Amino acid sequence: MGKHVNLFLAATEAILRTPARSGVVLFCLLAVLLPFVTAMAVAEGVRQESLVSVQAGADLYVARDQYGRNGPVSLDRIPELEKIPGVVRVVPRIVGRAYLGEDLAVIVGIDEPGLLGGVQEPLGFGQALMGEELARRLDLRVGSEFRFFLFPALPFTLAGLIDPALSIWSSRMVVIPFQAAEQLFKLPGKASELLVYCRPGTADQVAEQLGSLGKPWEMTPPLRIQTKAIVHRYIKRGFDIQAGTFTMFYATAFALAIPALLILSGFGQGERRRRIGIMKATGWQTLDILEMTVYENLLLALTGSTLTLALAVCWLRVGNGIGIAPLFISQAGWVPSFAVPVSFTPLPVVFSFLFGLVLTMLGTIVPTWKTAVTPPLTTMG
Amino acid sequence: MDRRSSLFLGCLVGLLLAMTWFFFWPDRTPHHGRLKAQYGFQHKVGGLGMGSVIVPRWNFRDYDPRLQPVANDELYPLPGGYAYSPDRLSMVSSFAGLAP
Repeated sequence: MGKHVNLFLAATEAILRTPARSGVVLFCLLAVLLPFVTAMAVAEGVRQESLVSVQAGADLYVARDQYGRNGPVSLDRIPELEKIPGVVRVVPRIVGRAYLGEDLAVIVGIDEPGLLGGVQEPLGFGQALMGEELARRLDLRVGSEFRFFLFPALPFTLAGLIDPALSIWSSRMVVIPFQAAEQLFKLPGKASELLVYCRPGTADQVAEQLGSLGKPWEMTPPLRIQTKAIVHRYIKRGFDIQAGTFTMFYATAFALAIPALLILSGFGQGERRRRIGIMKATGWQTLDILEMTVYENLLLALTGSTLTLALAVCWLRVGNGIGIAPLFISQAGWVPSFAVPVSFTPLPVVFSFLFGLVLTMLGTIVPTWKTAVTPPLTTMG
Repeated sequence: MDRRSSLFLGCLVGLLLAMTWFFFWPDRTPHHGRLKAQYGFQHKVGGLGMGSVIVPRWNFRDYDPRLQPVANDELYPLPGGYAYSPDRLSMVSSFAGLAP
């Protein structure tokens, strides 16, 4: 045991004796691992906000199937849907997008959209709530009037601002009463979807009954129904580790990092060869030298992964992802105006440690062994 | 063991302990109030937003696949070609290949 401890301490001293080599290896590990750990933390953060969106959402989303795409559904269907056993309430909602000046905004039309932006009463017809970022970009304040390019004759008054901490999707959102959204999009009597809330455990039965509404010979497009289970599956697939363009690009970066780090591991190889030669000359066994090299790599990988996590936490939690957020969240500014969702899990850090260990081992074990089995006079010379 | 080695190992152990605390400390969710507010907001709007996109520029699927399962940018300008949507180039989420 004492021998292994001594080898471990010798490895620590070896790392500190060659600060340039250790520094370069650590720098390379950080450069490769930091974007990965930050991306995984942001992906997990967005995934958790998505889960909130699904759990707090409706049990069923009903739209018209039009040529395989979602189409508007008539409000006339609401009484029919409400009669289905298990249905608690049916809420029409309009979600669309429209330009406000040069900025694209997500328009949400719902019934009684008050109490969101600190507003204590339901919104009136011409009133709107707006995400703070959008309001700032348009230089609007509470009480300001604005008009959509889509329907300039319809004026809106800003009644309140939506807190950017509520969700990343609210920063460019405009919430207006449902009737106003009908007018704005010029589709009266239609909703982009009906939100169906059911009694616990009845959603699947309600979905089945909804699917069988109407007669096959009726010339009405069928309804498209999405249950919470289906939407949960979207999240599972959408945030899979293999999903996302970032992962695709990053796999390439990882692959390129391997030869780069292998070359860099040979940095300071001459001095290292001399040192191994001296160790052999003073009675060290080849196995002892290899064991010490393993400890060196273990310490470097451990330092690299913990430093990566520390830097990622500082960058995302303290710095709110300044300079990196738009790489992961589309349309976020270089200085995000909302709280970047972040959640750190142990898995990426464990992966970083293993990745660092494998890379440093690949770069050092074979050259060390080759040097250790060479006569000391050759390596010392 | 010299002073530098002790300092290095001490720092490393400190970092490891901090990391363990960070991951396994039971009360490491200071944003409970924020989570409650997020639930309240999503409940009000009926659940909206899923992908890592703030506003849907080319299609709604990357923003929220509940709104639109089909991404139009996969249909043109070159059917079956590269993902042209600018939203998809900076995302950590991808809803491609969902059953409509």
